[in-house]
Amino acid sequence: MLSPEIIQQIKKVQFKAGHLVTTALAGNYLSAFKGRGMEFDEVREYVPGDDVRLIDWNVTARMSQPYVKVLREERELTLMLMVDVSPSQAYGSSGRRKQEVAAELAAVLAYLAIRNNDKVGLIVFSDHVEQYIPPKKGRGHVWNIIRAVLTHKGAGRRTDISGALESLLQHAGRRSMCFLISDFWASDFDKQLRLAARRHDLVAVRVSDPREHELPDVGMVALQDSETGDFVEVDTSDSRVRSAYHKAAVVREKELLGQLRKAGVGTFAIDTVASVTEPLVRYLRERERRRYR
Amino acid sequence: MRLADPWLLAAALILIPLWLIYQHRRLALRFPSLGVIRGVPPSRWARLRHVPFALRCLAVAALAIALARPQSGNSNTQRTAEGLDIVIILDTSGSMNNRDFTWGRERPTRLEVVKKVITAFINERPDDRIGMVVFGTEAFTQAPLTLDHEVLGRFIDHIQIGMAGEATAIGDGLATAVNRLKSVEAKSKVAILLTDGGNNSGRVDPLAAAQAAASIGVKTYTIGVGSPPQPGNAGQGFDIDEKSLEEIAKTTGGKYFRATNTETLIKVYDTIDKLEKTKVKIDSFANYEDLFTSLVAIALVCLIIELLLGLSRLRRLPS
Repeated sequence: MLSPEIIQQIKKVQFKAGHLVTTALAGNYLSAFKGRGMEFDEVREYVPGDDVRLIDWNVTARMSQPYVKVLREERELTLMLMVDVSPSQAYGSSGRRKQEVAAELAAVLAYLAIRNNDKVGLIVFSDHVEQYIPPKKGRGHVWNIIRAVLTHKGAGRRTDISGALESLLQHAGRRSMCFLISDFWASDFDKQLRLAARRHDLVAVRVSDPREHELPDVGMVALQDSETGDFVEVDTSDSRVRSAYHKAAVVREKELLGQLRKAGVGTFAIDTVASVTEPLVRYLRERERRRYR
Repeated sequence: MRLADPWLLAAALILIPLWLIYQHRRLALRFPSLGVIRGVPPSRWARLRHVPFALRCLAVAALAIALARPQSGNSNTQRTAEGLDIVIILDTSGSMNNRDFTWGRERPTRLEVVKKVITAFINERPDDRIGMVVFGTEAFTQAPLTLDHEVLGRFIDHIQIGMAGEATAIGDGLATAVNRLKSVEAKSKVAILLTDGGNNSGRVDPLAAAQAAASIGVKTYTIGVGSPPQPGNAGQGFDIDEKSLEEIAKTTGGKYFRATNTETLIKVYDTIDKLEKTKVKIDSFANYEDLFTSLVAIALVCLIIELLLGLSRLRRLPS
């Protein structure tokens, strides 16, 4: 079963996430994703204590007994978390690996959803969907999700975002809110991205490590691509190489952003050194602002 | 230049596994994706990244060659020959003018044929002192004993029929040769007497001359030249006194040969050539100098440069 350290880690993440949700994310930020508001569900007999304003007079007149409208909040939201556990996510230059950061964000989001009494589901993917937890409510379910996301050992060798999005389209019938947490080192997922963005409220979370933008000056370095297995030797002592690398990384980031925007996908970035929640809070606030404008 | 232990060059085979290991070294830091790095042009130093390995290969190769012990030096061969003293006694009487011998398609005189055969014989024996005596009515020394066979060849060319008279003074010829050989100190002295007739002139009896030759240790080979009598030209120039020639040979410990045509004449000289072997001592000694020090120095310098490069600018992570 789970080793004590892992349980410890899960508990820590759980506590941290719960704490963040009650402090930093105290506002009902997920309401930014809410639908139209109240929705009629059914009518039932009045029982003392019911709000008299909810009495449905038409039904009461027909039945000659007081009936009240039961309204259901349409905001029964489904949150789908898609976490990339491909080999490229196993990288981390400063203690935390990208996958851990992704797991932390997933845990925070799951807590947020549970607090709002929403359903949470999970898709863990690499070059295939490695694990699928259908959306459910409840605290115990959050535990399941956090454990799954933290303890998952990736088996795939590549990243297949389009496949993961396809399975999202298959599994989630109702419109749901979906966070796709990945480093997006994949190709040919544009079509599925557009499709998923049309059906769901899709947010792309870009996970990166500082090393993916800047190279430190450490001489000649042999690097192996964690997914393709290719080798390359880089002279990091050459300032031109470093600046060219930075430029190339910026270009790549821009291209990705453009692609996501075009597909109508919201996006924000997290990395392995800074706080996970800050970018999340910033993103949610901005989104709320835009909604009320 | 040579290698004392060439098989140790096999040590260079270490390069093969070294190369394979270098080719297949997979020690590298795992990186999320090389997608971005791909587009970065390599630096000038990155182009030199194989230099340390090349230097190491060079060092290994140099050491392998050093192991095989390259040496420079010269092997000296010294040839000390203990030559014989040979006097060729040639009959230049008128009968040598007969054309009963062939040389290829031509039919030169006997003398011409004999001269050619003798020249060939001389060329076979570079270590012997050879002299030349001709006789006819009288006898004289055409060439003294000499090692200069080139000059000797010229002397032979000058021999003509009748240069010593028309008769045949075998005894005088042999006596002149003995006189030539008398005072020399060679271990073995040889006279080769060639004639085509019987002794019919001169003051010295051939057998007496043979006695004299024997007394100072001159071995005398006698050769009778002339084709056997044929119907039509019976007796033409064929009056060899075989008996006395045989006698001369016997007395001096030599041998008598009959040469009836060019082939047998050549064979006769071949036989004499084989019988009278020259003792040749060949001393060869080698003086070699080992050259491995410079190779080891090259290897050392290569390794040091490799080490310095590998520790400084071309240091590779992970090492």
